[in-house]
Amino acid sequence: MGKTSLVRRFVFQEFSDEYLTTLGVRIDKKVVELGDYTVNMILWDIAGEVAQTKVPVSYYLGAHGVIYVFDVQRPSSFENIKADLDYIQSKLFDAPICVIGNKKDLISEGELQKLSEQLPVEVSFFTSAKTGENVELMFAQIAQRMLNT
Amino acid sequence: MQDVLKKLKEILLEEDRKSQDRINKKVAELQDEIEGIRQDQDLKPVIKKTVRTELQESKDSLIEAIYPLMGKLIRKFIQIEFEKLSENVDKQLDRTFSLQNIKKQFIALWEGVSHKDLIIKELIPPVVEEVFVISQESGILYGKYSHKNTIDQDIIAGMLTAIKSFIEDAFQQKTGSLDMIEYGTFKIIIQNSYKFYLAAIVSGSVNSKFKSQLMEHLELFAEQHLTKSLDELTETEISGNLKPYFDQFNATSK
Repeated sequence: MGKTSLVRRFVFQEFSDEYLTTLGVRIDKKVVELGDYTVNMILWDIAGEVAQTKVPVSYYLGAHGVIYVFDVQRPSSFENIKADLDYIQSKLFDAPICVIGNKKDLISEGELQKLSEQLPVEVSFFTSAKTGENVELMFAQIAQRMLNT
Repeated sequence: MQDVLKKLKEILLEEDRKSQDRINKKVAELQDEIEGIRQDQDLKPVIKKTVRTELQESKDSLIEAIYPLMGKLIRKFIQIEFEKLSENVDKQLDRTFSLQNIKKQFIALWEGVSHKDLIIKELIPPVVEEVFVISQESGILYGKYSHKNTIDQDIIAGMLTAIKSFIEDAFQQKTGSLDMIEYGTFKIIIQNSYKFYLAAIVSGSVNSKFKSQLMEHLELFAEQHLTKSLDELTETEISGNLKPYFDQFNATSK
């Protein structure tokens, strides 16, 4: 889906990608300036390609916000999006969730529009880790929503 | 008539004969060269065998040739290690019949710790190098005590939490928890409290008594300083409380 690519370009990365395949998670840090506030976000980059129910529950607990990423070119990455989001919300009642469609550089605006209309949930941003489009905006928005909670 | 023909033949073919002689000479030279190369190749295995035999028979001479270089290094290392060991043995021998040593033996008997552990603890005393106060669920760092600048401590706190969660999930024991990680000469000792866990990174020799004392100390810190709600606690306050607490612990545990 490109979660790690999104994280890799724009965060302080200390640990290698191998942690994802061994622990199923890698920790990264992102600092966002929001007016008078400096928000230090500790990001849990959770290994993808699995149903959300297979992710250890302890990896969710304590999260103050969620960035849910799907690949706009791969229907398998968003066919269960409603069920996944319902599951996440059942674990994290108050945490704001940002739904991100990544790899927008690979499809046309028309196709994006069509996809957006077809999905059962609202997409916060369509991003491209390759070009950087909307990535900083995405982190700023999730940081703001967490501050407001 | 025949003589004339013969003479004519000689005159006409003289150049060709000279050319032929030159060619024959060249061929002979080339043949010699080839023969020489072939003989060299025949000699190769012989030379190999000879060298191998010589090496085997002259092992001692070879070692003697190399030893001055390696031997000096090895000797120096052994000497230094022996001197260190000798000093330590001397010190222990001096203490054996000292009052201090007799007292130590009684302490060892009383506390159920071996005398050897007590001696080792003195030689390599344990030191609490860093302490992290980390939220149980989110893995966010709420306070730190540190002698040195390691890599980003927020990320260390997150990874420790991920490792802890992973292991506790993997073994699925509701009553169990991770309480120690060993890495090289360091031990990371973990004490859980309700909202937080405290991770202390210790260098030196850690025996069971020290570990037990440290965990009690960590638990006491949590009871005294971490009972407010998460919104009321600040990193500055927690870190400020950690410093004198563990500076004192390090001073008294020596």
